[in-house]
Amino acid sequence: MNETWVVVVRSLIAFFSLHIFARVLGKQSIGQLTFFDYVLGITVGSIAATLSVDLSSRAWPHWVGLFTWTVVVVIMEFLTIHSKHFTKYVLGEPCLLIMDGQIMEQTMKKNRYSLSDLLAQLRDKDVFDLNQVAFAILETNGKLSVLLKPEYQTTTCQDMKIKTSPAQIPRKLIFCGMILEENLIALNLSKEWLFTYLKNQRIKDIQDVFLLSVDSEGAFYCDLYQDHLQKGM
Amino acid sequence: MQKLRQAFLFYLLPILVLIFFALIMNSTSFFQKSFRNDDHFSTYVVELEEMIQIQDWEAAQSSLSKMHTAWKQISPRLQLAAEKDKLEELDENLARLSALVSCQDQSSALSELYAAANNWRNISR
Repeated sequence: MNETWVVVVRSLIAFFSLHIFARVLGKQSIGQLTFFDYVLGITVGSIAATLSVDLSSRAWPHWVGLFTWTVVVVIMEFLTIHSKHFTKYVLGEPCLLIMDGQIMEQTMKKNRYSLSDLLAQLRDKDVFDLNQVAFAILETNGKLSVLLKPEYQTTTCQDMKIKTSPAQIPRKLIFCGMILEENLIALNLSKEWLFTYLKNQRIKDIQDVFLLSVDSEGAFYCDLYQDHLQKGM
Repeated sequence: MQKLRQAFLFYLLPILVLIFFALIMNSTSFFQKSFRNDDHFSTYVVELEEMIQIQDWEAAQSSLSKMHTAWKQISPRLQLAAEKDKLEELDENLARLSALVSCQDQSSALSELYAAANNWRNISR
């Protein structure tokens, strides 16, 4: 057998094994990863790469390595879910870096966290003035959670006592020139109504519509395949 | 029915896929076995050893040629699960053995044959 085919088969084994193991490991996004998760990802990826292309060694030991790392992580996740003490021991605890507007220098020193790190992470949260911050917490994944002083917090509809309709995900009525009938039924709308709406919008053919959706407020969003952009934009 | 389908898709299918992969990666011992009339590698090793011992060089040449044919049949089957280096080592053993049998060098031929037999056993480890 040509070496190319050996690499192809081993790559398929690595790819699908990695896919299954990644599903087992859970749905944490990159943003939620701790430093250990990050290192874990690199290690597992490196083992999978070796499994795929290193023909000087058997595939099996690498696959066992991949499997072992996955099992250990699953065990660790199980223990962190079921034991508070284990979680504290393994992941550490969130630390207060700013309390009542005061920077906690000792905590920052203990966490090897510099002032420029703090200011950078605050800027990342759109906070440019330290006077606005009531509390800042360094999470175990290295992210900073910020609670602003009440006077700097964003006003909500609840604060203004404005009545709002229940939040709903906009429903697609037409997608890629095709009518999504289940959404029409869910909204108690008929095809006849849809055709009339399109006629009113001067849309001759349903095939011209890329997307037509409606939100909870009843507002429509319509996008045609043909875009009418002004020249010079 | 829906639950059964989901259980199959989310649990049973990935487990079956992983088992299938594990079997492929551990298939060396299985594929070292003989599947045709001309791929009895281990038998030819014993045969060649006897011929070298009694210094019947014509018969040894014939056994060696059978070994070469058998190895050509077997080596592609082992490529997926075995180490490339180990397969190459056995290739080299056979090449050296050909030269030694041609030169009728009994002691070196025997030592090379034992090395080849050892490598053959080690392929699946």
